[in-house]
Amino acid sequence: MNELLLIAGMCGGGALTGFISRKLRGNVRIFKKEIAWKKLLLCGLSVLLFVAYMPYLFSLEVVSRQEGLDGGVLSKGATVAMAILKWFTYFMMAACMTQPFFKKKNLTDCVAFLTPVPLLLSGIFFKQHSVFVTGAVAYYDFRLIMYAVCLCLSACVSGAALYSKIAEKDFGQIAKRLGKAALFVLIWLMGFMPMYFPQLMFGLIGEETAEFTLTHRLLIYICIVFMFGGYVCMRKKSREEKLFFLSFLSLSGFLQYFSHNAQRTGVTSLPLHLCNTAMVLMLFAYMFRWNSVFYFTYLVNVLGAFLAILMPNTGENLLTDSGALIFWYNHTYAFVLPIFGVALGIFPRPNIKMMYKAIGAFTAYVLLAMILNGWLNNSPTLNPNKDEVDYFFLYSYFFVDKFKFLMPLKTFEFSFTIGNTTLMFYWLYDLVIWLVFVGLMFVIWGIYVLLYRTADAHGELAKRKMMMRLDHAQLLKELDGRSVKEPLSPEGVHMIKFTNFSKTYAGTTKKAVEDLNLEIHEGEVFGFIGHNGAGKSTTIKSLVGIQSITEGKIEVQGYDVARQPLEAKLSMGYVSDNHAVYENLTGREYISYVADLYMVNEKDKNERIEKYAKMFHLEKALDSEIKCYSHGMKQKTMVIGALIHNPKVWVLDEPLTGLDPTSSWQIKECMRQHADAGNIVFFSSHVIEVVEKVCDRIAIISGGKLCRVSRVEDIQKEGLSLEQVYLQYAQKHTPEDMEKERV
Amino acid sequence: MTQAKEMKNTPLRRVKYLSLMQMGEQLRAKKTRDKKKKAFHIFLKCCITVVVTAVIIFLLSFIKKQFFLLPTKDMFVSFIFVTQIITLFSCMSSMISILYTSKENAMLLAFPCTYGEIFLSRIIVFAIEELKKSMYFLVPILIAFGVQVGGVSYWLTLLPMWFMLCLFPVLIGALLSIPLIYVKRFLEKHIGLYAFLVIAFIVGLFVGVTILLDKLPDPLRLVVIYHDFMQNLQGAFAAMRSWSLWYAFIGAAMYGEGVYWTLPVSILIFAAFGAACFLIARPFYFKAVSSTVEAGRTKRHKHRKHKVNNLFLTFFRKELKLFVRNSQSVNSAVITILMFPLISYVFNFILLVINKNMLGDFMSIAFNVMITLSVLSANNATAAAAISSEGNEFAVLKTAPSNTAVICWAKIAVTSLVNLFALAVTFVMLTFTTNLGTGDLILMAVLLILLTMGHIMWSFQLDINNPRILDYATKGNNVVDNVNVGKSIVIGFIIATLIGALTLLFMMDSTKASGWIRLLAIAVAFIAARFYLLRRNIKVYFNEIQM
Repeated sequence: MNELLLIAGMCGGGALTGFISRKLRGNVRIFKKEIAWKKLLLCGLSVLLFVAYMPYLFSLEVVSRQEGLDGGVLSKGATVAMAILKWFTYFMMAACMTQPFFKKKNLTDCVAFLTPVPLLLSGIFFKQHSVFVTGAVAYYDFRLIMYAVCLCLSACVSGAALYSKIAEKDFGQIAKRLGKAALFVLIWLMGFMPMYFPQLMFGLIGEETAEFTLTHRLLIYICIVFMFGGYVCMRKKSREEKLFFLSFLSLSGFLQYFSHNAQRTGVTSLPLHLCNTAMVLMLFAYMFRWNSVFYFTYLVNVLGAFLAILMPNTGENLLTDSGALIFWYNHTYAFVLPIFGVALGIFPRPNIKMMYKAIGAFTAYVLLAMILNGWLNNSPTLNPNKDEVDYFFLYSYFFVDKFKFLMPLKTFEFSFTIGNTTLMFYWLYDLVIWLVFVGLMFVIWGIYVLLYRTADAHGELAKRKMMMRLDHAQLLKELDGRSVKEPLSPEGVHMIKFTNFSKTYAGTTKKAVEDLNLEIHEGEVFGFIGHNGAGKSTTIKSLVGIQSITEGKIEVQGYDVARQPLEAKLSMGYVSDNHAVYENLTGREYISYVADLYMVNEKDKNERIEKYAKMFHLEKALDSEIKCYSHGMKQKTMVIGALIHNPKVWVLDEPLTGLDPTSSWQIKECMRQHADAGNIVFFSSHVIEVVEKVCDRIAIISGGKLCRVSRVEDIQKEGLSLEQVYLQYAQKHTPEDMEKERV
Repeated sequence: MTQAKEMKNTPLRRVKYLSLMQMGEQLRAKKTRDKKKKAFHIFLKCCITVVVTAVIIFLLSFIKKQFFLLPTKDMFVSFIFVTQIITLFSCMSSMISILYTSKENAMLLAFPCTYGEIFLSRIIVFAIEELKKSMYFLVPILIAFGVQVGGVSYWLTLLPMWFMLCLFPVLIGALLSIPLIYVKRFLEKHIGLYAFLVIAFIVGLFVGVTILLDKLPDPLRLVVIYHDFMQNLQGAFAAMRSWSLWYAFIGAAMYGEGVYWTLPVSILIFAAFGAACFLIARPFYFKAVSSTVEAGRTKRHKHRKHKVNNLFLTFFRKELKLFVRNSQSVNSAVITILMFPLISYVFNFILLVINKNMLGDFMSIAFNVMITLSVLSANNATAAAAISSEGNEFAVLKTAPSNTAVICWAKIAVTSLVNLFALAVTFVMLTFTTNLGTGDLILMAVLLILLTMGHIMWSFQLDINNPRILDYATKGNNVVDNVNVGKSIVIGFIIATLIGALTLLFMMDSTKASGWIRLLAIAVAFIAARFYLLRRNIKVYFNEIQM
């Protein structure tokens, strides 16, 4: 009869809630936030369910102390069936507590279609449940009444979800969806397993964890695998999904912690051990996105949990004992959940201020633990049985047993009396524990910072890799089916072309070269002149690929320097302004090395080395180490290196600086000959006379902007010398003046 | 119109500006704009000094309580004497590169100052650096001894003594570096003689060490030899005091023995050395420096023809040639290849006479792994500057139309070759000096090869991610504050300690075989991860390195 009433209540509640929620329209304003009435109703029911479940958490279930299936209050089969039903019901209730807060399809399908089954079965077998929990048929036991209320409230939430599905005829691909919902349940079930379940099913198995045994290590590995596995699975999910994952996990941690062992009524077992606080704090942190609470768990609880996992203090057998299991669940949650919070981006990375706040909060916690320990251990009224109260192990000999050298600290006591209660503290011992923990917090902080940097570096690496792929795809698209070895702009195969080229150096905002447009054609010796710091070398270094291009485009023989660098470089030879030659190689070795880089065959290489060595009178020096060369010899070696592959474009940066007249003349001759052979010679200089004599065309650059491009003979026709023209621009300092002139 | 005051161009003013200019250059390199960061760094350095001081105080009191060895004047003098000798060697090696082979010399010589002023300014800058460095070792030693035994005279004389003790090795180093630079150059020209001397030195060292080690009783029981050992130690302290001359005066002055004459005498000796250093070294300085700057020698090499094979071989050939022709890298390789087996030999010999049980066997493996890794890691640190040390020459790679990132693998191959050779020699030596089985030795060799290669790749990646090409372009190979090299050494030390601890843990935890399997699995995972990361980083960042 009672069962029938309960089932009727559940069905009625579900149907009624579903009906009302369908009919509800409009919004209500709560804390400046518009919330739909329907959502408010369902969220309210969920909160009510959570509150109603609380008394149940603080009750002792008879079976939780049973070891194995023999000798229980129910038959073996009934015990197994009831234990499984309890597990599922427990999970479904948690799902109902969460579902109204998240828009998650699997969860909604689970609550709508799957939840009714265990709820109804719980109603049908309510009598057996009563025996399972209390050891007798006691329908009117407070715990059972509250459990019945929970079943009804869960049915309301589930009914509303089901009603909504029926009303909207939302049954598309129902088999697939049910499968997904079932999979969702199976994955999450482990998080909600009643801690007594393995002990009840299999008895006590395993060994003590007090030693660093293989089993102990295996559990550490599981913890680490869970952490990395969870991160890998969730990192690409939406924020909503991540938030659900973490909230549901924190709810599971909270329920697991409080549902285990009902003896949480006395002052000796308040949730005030460091890792126990995490179970409460994390739920609040994730539910209300409470930053300061979260960072306390992130900077304090993680450390405590990590140390506890490394040195477990459970003296019980590991694998099935409920006490040992809750120890592992509790500390795994406290260790992993806060790390997930930052790793998955729900909370930003903390700064040092948060660290100091966490230290402050930890200090307050230690003071509270000290006072409670000192007070409760000596209070005859609050602790008549003289049970040990030892929050954060500040009162007992727990740490002293592990670290014997702490023993002398225990002799420093301080006590005072209030009324008939004496408060006693081990002040120096507590102070040292506090100091060590804070020190370790700084170590953890250092590790976090290191991990952030590593994560950033890997993130940046992946981003750049992706950019490279996108750039390549874009290049292929622009090539429109042609090979990447072909020029991107076939019309530009006979020239060097700068299009809106700008260069800004890292760490500065000023443009070293700005909006440069220039074309240099075959057969030309082109001079690039400007004052020191005008942007000549910057332009040349970007052209030859030494520096990146900030904006615009540079094309050489139709190849884009930025996107087809190898093809562009193959047609260029470069002589730098700083004698960049390996001083420990011989001249011949250096040139051979460059020839190998440019893939010049042996025959051509030898012929050209002989030809140029003769031209520059270097035959005798070629087999000596370059460090013995003079300035001019080094420059000539570089010139040979640049010409060894007979490039179509020859680029020289200040090639004649510091050369004697003969060497200077030889290089100028070489430049002229190279251009006359139908190639391009592009060189920078601030020696006006040389430019005037050698070049066909010139460009003047000042303050990073191109001022004038013209043929040398045109300047001469104007009756001016190149020097006069150059000085006109060099003396203009304001960019506005230069801009006017250019226009 | 304002009349500009005529600046007095005195020698002292010139020395001051020269010193400030050089220090400014060094400070700019280390400069951090963040004031908080700067304050934190200062705080950290102070913390290091305090911690080192506390450790030495603890050690002294420990020695006093456990071995009844009081921190007497003899002990103090011996301590200071030994540390000063070590400092002197370090000073000489640094001075040769800073005073005579630095690229900055060419610039300094061009300034309108006398060569004596330039020399003095360089010594001053070097001395200031030494004073800074002393905060981590000399100052803690002085304070620790003071706390243990120091009287009034000790604390009163502490400041001038600290100053003199810091500068004394600098002065002697400056003097000795002059003949040394000539010897160095002479030996560079006569490679055969150089090789002969190195081999003779190593063989001599080996013979000397063997004679010493043969004197160790087998089995070595520390308790039995304790009494003799302590007596010999006291005797050694007394002998060292009698030989340490100037340091004996320092010790006497600080311990308050005839402070009225020992203190002035020690100051006088110091001043005399300072004057001698300036007067003797000054005339040689310009000669030594200018001959380094001038390009006088002609070293010819026969060119061997080769086919254009592939890029890796091109780079490998070039790297090998540069390595062989660079005396600094050859010296370092020779020291690694010859000294490393010697260290290993001494260590294992001692272990062999102590080790008489299974735990000792495990300890022997663990310590061998740790020491070998530490030495090799220190050698690997050069990989953390491999690309940066290209300097201006990197332009050749930037402008070449080929996948020049291949040079990274060629450089890794050359660095690895030296290490592998050193490892091979060491393991041949170990077969004679340890009681470990051949199987253990082979597995240890495989483990060390994997870890060393992994560390080389890691060091290389540090350089790729944060290249210092401009520093090397301006200073040549005299860049002393390359942060990547520091990081590489720290990483190497952490790897060595961690793997040493894991070796012991795994071996003690279960069987030796399972210990080896786990260690090798870690090493394979490590090298695989490093290879993957290096490859990715080279692909993405190598082409982005700018000059």
